[in-house]
Amino acid sequence: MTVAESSSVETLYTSHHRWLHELLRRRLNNAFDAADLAHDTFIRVLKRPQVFAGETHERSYLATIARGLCIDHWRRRQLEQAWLDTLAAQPQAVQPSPEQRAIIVETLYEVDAMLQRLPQKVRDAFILAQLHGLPYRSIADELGVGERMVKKYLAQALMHCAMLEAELDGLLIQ
Amino acid sequence: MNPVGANAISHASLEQAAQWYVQLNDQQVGAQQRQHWQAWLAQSPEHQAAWHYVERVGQRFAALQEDHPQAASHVLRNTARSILSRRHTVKSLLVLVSGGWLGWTAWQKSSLPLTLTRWSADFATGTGEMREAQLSDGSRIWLNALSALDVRFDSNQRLLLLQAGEVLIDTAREPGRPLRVQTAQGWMRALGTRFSVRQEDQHTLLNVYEGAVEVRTRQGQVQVVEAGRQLRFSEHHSPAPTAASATREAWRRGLLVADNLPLGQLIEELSRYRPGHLGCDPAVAGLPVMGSFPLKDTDQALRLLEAALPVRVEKPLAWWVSVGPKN
Repeated sequence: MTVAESSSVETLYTSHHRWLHELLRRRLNNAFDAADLAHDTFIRVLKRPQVFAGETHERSYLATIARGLCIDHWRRRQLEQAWLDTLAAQPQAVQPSPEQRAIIVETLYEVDAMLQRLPQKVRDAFILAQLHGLPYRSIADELGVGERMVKKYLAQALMHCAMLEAELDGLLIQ
Repeated sequence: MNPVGANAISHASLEQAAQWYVQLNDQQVGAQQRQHWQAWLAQSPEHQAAWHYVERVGQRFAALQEDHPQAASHVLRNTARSILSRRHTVKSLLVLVSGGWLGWTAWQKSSLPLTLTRWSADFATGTGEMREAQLSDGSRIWLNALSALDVRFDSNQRLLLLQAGEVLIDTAREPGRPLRVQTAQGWMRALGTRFSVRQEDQHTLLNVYEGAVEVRTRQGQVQVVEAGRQLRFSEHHSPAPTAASATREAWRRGLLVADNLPLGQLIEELSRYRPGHLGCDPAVAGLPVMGSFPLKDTDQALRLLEAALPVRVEKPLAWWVSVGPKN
């Protein structure tokens, strides 16, 4: 990073950190989470330095990044809670270790993000195949569609996710 | 890491790889099919790359497969829905004029940020969904697509919290109990009226169609906006109102009326009514658009755009649409 870039992030931090922290505190209702996310927001900016067209632009950029982080934060917490609730409802389930728990929550979050834009039935078919290992015939029965449709759904879901995976590696999809 | 060293991969290869993966996981797969798949894989490095990415999708699920897969499946399929029960407590506040409680199907397909806001809201709409309701005081509201509204009525005031999206309000008169709308940027107090409020990224857009509305920003700036005027204000800046845009009210009738609207903005608006991805190439995002577009039939709206402008609508997947320049 050049000196000019690092000093501009520094200026950004000095002029907007308090404002951003306050914005996040209002949104999250929690000063500790707000401090964490404000910190993460500036880390993101450090990784991708930008040229700004004035103070409003700076704040709107910071707010956009912070909003994305809030959403991630809420969604992670929600998935974690839902998963713990589900486990607690199973009488003989073994409680996971903190490490296992962290890995599972992270995976749930990733998978959930990949699947969120898929139509409901496609998503359901895919989860039934991946996590329950159900044969296509059983998935078809469960969803009330034909087996050929199930295969179509699964191929659609896989392709959608594979596109995201390839994009993660910086590949262009043509 | 990128296994091919290439910087691009085709839709077609990924699609074929996905189809092979589905076929090979079928319990009835035969030896002959496996040979065909091997031959396909050997055909080109691009096929191998595509296969790599499809397999990587499978690996994403690995941690969940090992540990209570049923619980993970339950969470992934039902987390959104489990919030429903909380909503029943506010049911008495609202008498729905049309539709069910929530359009779950549309809801599940919509984008994550709004889905999150809507989880905690009393009253919400999904992608492409518009809803009309009557509040307990007799006021009528129309909620635009991807919107969320909380209702907080008590003996002193009628407070509506707009969490996301847009609401049109026809207020019932009730002296002594003012109706106010709250957004991230401030409050709007109805002075016997019909008006719409839209929550944008950093601004609130207010349009007054009848009566007047008093605006108070978070920083305490106060002004009255009369019928026929609109005001876009931020937390700390409330400029002079301009002429209201009559087209803003058209969504209630299922129409998007564009009067020199940049294509990018129009596409963004349309995407609120359509599940899946709808994107616009920056090269054509600035093209000005005139005309009315049906919100209930976004395919038709896209066809109209394609006929009127030098653009091409591409649809590699049923729910993946992008608008780019015509070659």
